[in-house]
Amino acid sequence: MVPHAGEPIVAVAVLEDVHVEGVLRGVSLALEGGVLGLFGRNGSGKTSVLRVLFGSLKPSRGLVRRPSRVGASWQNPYLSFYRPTIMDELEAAVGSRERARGVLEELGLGDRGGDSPFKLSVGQARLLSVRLASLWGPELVLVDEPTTGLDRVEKRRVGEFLRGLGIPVVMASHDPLFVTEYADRVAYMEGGRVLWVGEPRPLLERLEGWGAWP
Amino acid sequence: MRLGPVGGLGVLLWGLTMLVLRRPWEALALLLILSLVLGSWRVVARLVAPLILLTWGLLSVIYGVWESLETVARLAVLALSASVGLSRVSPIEFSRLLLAIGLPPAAAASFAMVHRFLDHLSTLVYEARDALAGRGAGGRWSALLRLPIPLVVHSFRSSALIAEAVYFKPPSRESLRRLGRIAGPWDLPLLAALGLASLALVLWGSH
Repeated sequence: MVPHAGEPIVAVAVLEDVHVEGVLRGVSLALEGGVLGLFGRNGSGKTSVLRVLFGSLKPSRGLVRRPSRVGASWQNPYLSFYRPTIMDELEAAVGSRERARGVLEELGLGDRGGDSPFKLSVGQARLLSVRLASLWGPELVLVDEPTTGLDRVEKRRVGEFLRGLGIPVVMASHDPLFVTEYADRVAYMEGGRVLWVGEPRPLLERLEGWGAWP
Repeated sequence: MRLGPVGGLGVLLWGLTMLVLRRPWEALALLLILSLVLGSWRVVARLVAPLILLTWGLLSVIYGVWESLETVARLAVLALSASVGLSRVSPIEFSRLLLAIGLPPAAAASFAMVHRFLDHLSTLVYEARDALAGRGAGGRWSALLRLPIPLVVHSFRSSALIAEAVYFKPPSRESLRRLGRIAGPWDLPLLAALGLASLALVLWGSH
């Protein structure tokens, strides 16, 4: 999302010099909308940044400014389901059966409304979990490792889905191709620090230069 | 101080013996001292004590405060001897003791697996709580009602996968034998001290 000329950039969330003991060592980020990809190897601190933004991890030092309503879909999408059928989950989220049917079609699950959400494949469960995270009116949606266990086709669906949500998204992923394809901006993390923030394409060249291509 | 599997099992059997001998108060006093010596008082204070107090509260409503005290003391001895005895024992070493007693490898290893799974379950509670909060269903009380559903489904799925893995590749007798010792250096002295202290308390109480 690029602001019009003269329009001030309003940050959705801001992290300033955030420290979490043993995990984050001075992370500063400003989220301005669109999709921000947090990219880095396992243990680089991506999930911790998401948890700080979500409010479930308190920093030992630094400033956090985040919206009051933050939606999230974590690594295990099945943990966010608790109703008997997919239709029940959506109906409870949107308030009417008619609208729930529309969301069901949008997710490509038109004929699965009567099934248990626990019977969905990982990719389908991920889509449903992200959609549920975005339906209750959050100002920011966090998605942790959206591509785990997905094939190429499912990755594309999830990526396009995230871009089309219309809500600022922060996604953490260790998949460089996915991040550079679907994020508007990328923050590269290593050892609990953000080493680089910018447009996705130049990141690929830099990664090769740093010898950090996973 | 860390107990070995023999010490842990010894404390558990000693607690049961004291109950059979109808000496719950003496056992309770010694178990509280033991929890301080072994450094397991945190488990007692945070987990066992609240559960025992809750049980006492419920039984008091039904049977009266003092009438239920003896029953609560017996329950406390059971819970304390299990938690004090086993909370400081490495589960995988305990599996080795079960193997030495004669259990088959898969059954002996199941103790360590259950222990590990309980550990995993506590992490899972926080993950499920965040997952529900992330979709706007994480109100303090409503989340308590919803939490069990994803947890139970996840537990069943995981246990089915683990059972399948153990069935096709059970742990070998040799691999379990390589894991630590059956008895720690303090096990026998501590059990002997516990036996002597119990005897002294029983004799003192009979005068």
